This record gives sequence, C-alpha cells and structure tokens, in this order.
Amino acid sequence: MDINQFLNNLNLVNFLSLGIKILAVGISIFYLLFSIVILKQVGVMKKTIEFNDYGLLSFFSFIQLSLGIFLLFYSLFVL
Amino acid sequence: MPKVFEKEKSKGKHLLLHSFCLRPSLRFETQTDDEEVVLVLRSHPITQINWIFTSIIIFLLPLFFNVFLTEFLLGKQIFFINFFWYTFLFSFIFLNILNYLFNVGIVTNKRIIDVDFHQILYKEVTASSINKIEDVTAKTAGFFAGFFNYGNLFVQTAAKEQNIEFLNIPHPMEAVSIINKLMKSFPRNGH
Repeated sequence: MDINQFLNNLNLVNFLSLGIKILAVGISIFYLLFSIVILKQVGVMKKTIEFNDYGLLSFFSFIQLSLGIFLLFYSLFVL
Repeated sequence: MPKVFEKEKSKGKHLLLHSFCLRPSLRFETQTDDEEVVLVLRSHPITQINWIFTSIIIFLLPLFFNVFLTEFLLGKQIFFINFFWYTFLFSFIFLNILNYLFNVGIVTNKRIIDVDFHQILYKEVTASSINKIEDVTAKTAGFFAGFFNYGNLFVQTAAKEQNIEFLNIPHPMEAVSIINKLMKSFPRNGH
C-alpha cells in the first residue's frame, strides 16, 4: 500500500465526525450536570423566598434536565 | 402592623411585573410568626432589557450560520448544534428570570431584608431591624431612571451593622416613604 492509498483509507471525514461526537458528548455531560445543579438550586431559592409560582419554576427546571438527557442520548447514539 | 397599612391588609398590590409589591402573599425563610411582609422590591423590569435583547439576537443567529454549516456537516450534526444552541438559550433566559425573581428586597413590620443570589449559586441575606435604621436615602440618576421612575435605595444602619441597598427598584421615593412610616411607628432604642 502506498502513502496515497493509506491517506485515502484514513477517511478524514470520519475523523471530523468522531471529533464532533466526542465534543458533543462532552458538552452534553457538562450541560446535564449544570441542569442538575440548577434543579437543586431552584429548590434552595424557593425555600428562601416562598411565593406561588404555580409550579412553573420546578417545571422549567425539569424541562432543562430533560433537554440535557436528550442531548446526551442523541450525542451518544445518533451522532 | 402599623395602622397606616391596615387598609391594604385585605389584598396585596403588585406593580410592574411584581417588582413593587405592597402586602404580597410571600414568605421568606427567616420570617417569624409575628412578622408580616409589607413591601417586596425587585429590579425595575426595564433594567432587564439587556438580556432580553441578547436573547433575541441568540435566537436569530442560527438563521445565518446554518447556511454555512450545511456545506461542512451532516444533517444530524447540524440538528444537534441547533438543538444545543436553543437549549442554551432556554437556560440563559431561565437563569435571568431566576435572577430577577429571587434578588429581592423585603420590608416587614419588623425588619428590612436584602436577599441576593450572586450568579444563582451564591446566596447572601442581609437583615436589619427597623428600629436600628439611622437613615434611608433614595437616588435616581440618569434619563432612563428618571423617565421610568427607578433608582437605588440605601438603608444606613448602626455603625457595626452592614448597610442595605436595593438597586434599580421602581418608585424609590414611595419605598422610602413606606420605610419612614414604619420607622415612626416603631419604638426606637434609647429614644
């Protein structure tokens, strides 16, 4: 096999996709951890100042967590 | 509860997206049983325009850079980037709303409390008894502050205690008036 054939076999497009996947997984994990922290912190904040938010703040916190889980699964299994 | 506020006892008054709330149905962590919330102050909504404007720009940016991404990336990768972008936007808006809702100044019939959540994670609560307040000052500076009637309120207490400040609150003069009424109705130590 000569050097040109070797380089063609490497398929640089796959390297780019692999790099994007690794980056996506890393970002997704970071975002998931961030959303867990915010979920906990919203509980602390609501305990400090109690008012009727009709459950919206907790609801949006869980939406954020769900988005983080979806991002992680998408980056792991689809990308 | 001082008589000056008894006529508002039946229901609260909320102005300007709950940034100036008289007799709200709100409780806080260190509230005692005989303590009633008279006034709750948040930043004037107009001071939130910066992050709202930034959110609009963040929302519109993918319309431009998606045109270039299609030349380099696959469809599923572009979907991920866009999805993450709007998830980030959602979090940005949510955190700013939390920052607005939970950075409050509370005036009760006994104390003045300043609750600050710096960067969401760092909580700082400063409280002072009404009878230990030495001076209350309201400052309104600038065209927008004058036009929209918002400013800063500074509560000076006895020397060893921290001073309390409420920044960018609506109707600062009215807030000063309410605190002065409470101070007059509260017996002061040594007077």
